[in-house]
Amino acid sequence: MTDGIDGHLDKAKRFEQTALPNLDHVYRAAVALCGRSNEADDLTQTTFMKALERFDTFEPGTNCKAWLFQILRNLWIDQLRRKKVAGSAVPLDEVLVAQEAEVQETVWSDAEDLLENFSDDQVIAALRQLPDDQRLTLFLVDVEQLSQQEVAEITGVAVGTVKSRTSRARREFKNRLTSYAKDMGFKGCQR
Amino acid sequence: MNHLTEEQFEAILQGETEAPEHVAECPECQARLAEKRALAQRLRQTFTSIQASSDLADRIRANVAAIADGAAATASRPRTIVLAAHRRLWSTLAAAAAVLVIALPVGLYFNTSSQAKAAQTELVEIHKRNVESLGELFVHEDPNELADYLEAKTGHTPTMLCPKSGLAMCGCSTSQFRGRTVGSYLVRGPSGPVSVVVIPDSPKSLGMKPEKGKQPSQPAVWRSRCGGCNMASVRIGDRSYYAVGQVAQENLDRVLTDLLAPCQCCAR
Repeated sequence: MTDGIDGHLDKAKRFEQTALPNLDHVYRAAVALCGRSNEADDLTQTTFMKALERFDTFEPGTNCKAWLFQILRNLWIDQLRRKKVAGSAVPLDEVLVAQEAEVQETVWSDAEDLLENFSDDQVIAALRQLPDDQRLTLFLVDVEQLSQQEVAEITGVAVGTVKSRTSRARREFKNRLTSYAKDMGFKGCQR
Repeated sequence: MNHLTEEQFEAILQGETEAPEHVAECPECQARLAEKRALAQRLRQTFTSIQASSDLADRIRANVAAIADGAAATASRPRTIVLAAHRRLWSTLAAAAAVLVIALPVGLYFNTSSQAKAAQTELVEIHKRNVESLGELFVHEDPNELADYLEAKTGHTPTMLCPKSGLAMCGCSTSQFRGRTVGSYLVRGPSGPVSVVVIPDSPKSLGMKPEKGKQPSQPAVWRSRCGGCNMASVRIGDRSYYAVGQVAQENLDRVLTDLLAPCQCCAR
């Protein structure tokens, strides 16, 4: 007779056990999209509230983290649409960025040492300058180390698009860091 | 010599394939692969050190608990009706058992109802304290400063009233509501003071009744009366805003209308 009540309380308990352990991962993805800001906190919180609302649709045994990332991405896109700063999939600047990168790219002489010179904030700032879907794709591939199939499902594109998007994102990420490096006078990254 | 394509580099980085022999013989492809690996590693290193604050974690847990409590409270009500309907179908022989079946959900209903009433009373108490301790409110002429103050105290940045709304902002404060720290601010209108209390709990979970907006696009306003005060509530984002005061519902509507209206000068 108290199935409804117990059901809701049980759902909340299962949610706490299954979804909440991914809090740091979701927060990092929010930081990748919004930077370290209140906006990242709000996006994380909204993601979990939305996830709780839809928890009945989550299939136990599947990748909860990937499911949360998908919710986060959808909420982020909704926010961008509301702010009227995003196109449908932001493809135009991706193309422009890719074209620019192809012209300018050269190889760094000692990448590992050079990259140690950047602060974490500079790394995040460089990532944040990428187009939205490139930014999330690179984060999911490099930081979360998800498979291209999983990233394709989260971002709603074909695996081939994930591959090309990752490649372009990495190149553009490097270009942004190169700009910082030149500003700071680092050697080893001259074009 | 054919250098590796971008797709091949990505396949190697993803662990899909081993680096072909060409890489061992080509310094340029070696350097490019090393560079891509270093970029991925640096990005990973940056983010793995980032953690959600304990404050954010607490807020999410509190919201999950509040939503679960609210849903459980709501779930208990229709059960009463279902079981009452079942009771009519059973014979006299089943009556004794039916009494037991009905008694529990009815008890839960009244328990829920009393919890809702207690929560409404807490809101009224917050309003009364705001009015009585006017001198102890945090006061600033800039609503953004008040919002920052509440954000620092509660972890949430509330939507504030536009300074041009004609309602005088008296100040803001924090209080305890259902064991959690919540923010509120006090405004003074022509008919008296009104507190705006910002909490995650839905007005439904507080036993309030909805009144649909006149236009389909307008959100429902939830209403109730408790302890000599009227209260009205709307949902903005993931919080409910409760306007509480010893004023008519129309005066509360004025406050909520201003909260919901997009405002050029406040950038909302």
